[in-house]
Formats: sequence, C-alpha cells, structure tokens
Amino acid sequence: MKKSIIFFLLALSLGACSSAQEQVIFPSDDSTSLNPIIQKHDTIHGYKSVINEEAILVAISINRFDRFNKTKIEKKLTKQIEKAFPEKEVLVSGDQKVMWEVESIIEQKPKKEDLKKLIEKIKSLSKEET
Amino acid sequence: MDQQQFQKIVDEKNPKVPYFMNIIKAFIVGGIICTIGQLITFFYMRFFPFTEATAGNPTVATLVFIAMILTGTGIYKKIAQVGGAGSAVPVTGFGNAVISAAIEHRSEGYVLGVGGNMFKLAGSVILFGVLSAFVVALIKTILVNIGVISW
Repeated sequence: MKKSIIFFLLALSLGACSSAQEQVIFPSDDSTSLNPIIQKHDTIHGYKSVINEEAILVAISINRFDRFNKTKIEKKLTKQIEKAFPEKEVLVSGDQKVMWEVESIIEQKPKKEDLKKLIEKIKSLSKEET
Repeated sequence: MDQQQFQKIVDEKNPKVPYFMNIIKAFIVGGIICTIGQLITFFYMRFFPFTEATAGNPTVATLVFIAMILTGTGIYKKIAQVGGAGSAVPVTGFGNAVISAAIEHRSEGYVLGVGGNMFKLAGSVILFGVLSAFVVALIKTILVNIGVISW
C-alpha cells in the first residue's frame, strides 16, 4: 500500500515535467515581424499565432508565476503588436482555450474563408464573460 | 483538588491530537479534490466553448453535483473523516453542508422542512461571502478611482 502511494506520488511529480513550447505562425510563409516583438518579453515562453488579412490572433503561454499579471502582459503585447501592424485587428490571449483553438486551426490548415470564420469564433469566445 | 489540578490530569490522560498527520491528510485530500476540479475545468474547456475565465461556473456546479451524490450515498462522510478541513474548505464542503441539512430535515416537509433548514449551516457562508465580496469590491473601486491600481 505504502509503496504504491509513493510510486503514485513519484509519477505525479515526474508528470509535471513538460516539453518546451514552440513558436508557430500560420500561415508559415507569412514573413512577419511578430517574432522579435514577442521574444523581448521574458515572461512568455512560447506562442502560436494565426494571421489573415484582417486580424492577428496570438495565443501566448505565460510562465507559471507571471500568470498573476496575465491581463497586464496581454495588454502590453497587444499595444506593441498593434503598433507593428496598424491595419490589423489584434487579439492577444494567454488563455489555454484560445491556445488549443489556435492549435486546432494550425492542424486543420483551413482555406481563407474557413480561416475567417474560425478566427471570428475565437474572437467571440474571448469576449464571452458569463 | 481545584480546577487547575483537574485540568492538568485531564491533559495528561487525553490522547495527543496528531496535528501534523491531520494537516498532511487535509493537504492530500484537499489537493485531490482540487485536482479533480482542475480536470473538470480542462474537460469543459476541451469539449465545450468555455475559456479559462468562464469554465469556473460549470466546474463549480459539477463539483457540487458530485458532492451531492457522495453525500446522499454516505461516502462524503468517510472522506471527511480522513480529510477533515481538506474536504470542508473546497466548494464540495459547501455542497455537503447544504445537502446534508436538506436530507436531514426532509421528514418535516418540503417547504418548512427542506426549504427552511437547507441553509442553516451554509447560510452563514453565503452571507459572509457576499458581504466580504462587497467590501473587497468597494475597496478596489476606491483604489481604482484614486488611481493607485488599474482593473
């Protein structure tokens, strides 16, 4: 009994080790200046982004203890990206759900119209407050 | 024999309270409950259109529902015997307090029995929860208006 408990706790503590986040932009051929902006922040350890003609979605993964300042980091980054892309609508989110949705968009590799719909969906998601 | 001597003897004879073990048990049981809550949150985020900010409400509802079933079947009592405060502090403890009171007074009728006694234990939690939330919101509003912090 005791051994099994120790084994369980060990497995739990080892399970906390996770792989590092990568940096992905979709569509990948889009040469952007997004990378240097985000890399300046040392509170962010990875991001996934989707870009079309009208909007930029950036899902960032914030370091564990910097999550207390999540809204501040999001706001700051939004302002900086808006400066770099003044013609586009910017949404920066540290939310795990947005991250998963962006990941699923990158996996699906949708066409232009579908991409627009999916981006609208995520935008309405992040506005939801109830 | 005066009061102090008597108290001394009582203290000697009483079994020692295992504070440290109780704390460890409460930590583990409370941690397991919160881990289950986190898993439910991830479930709602994965399969339903909830974000981190909005997934809290259905998670609380689900946890209280689970606590209801466990209270009705008498399992929560056993968990509370082991876990102590670890099972009382999370929202499941609140659910347990409401539901056990409702079950207890069921024989007195649905309106005066269940309705009247349901919040006997948990009513104070709701009252002071709402009151302290109001006070905290008031303080924050004042601080924001002064300009010390931002929303």
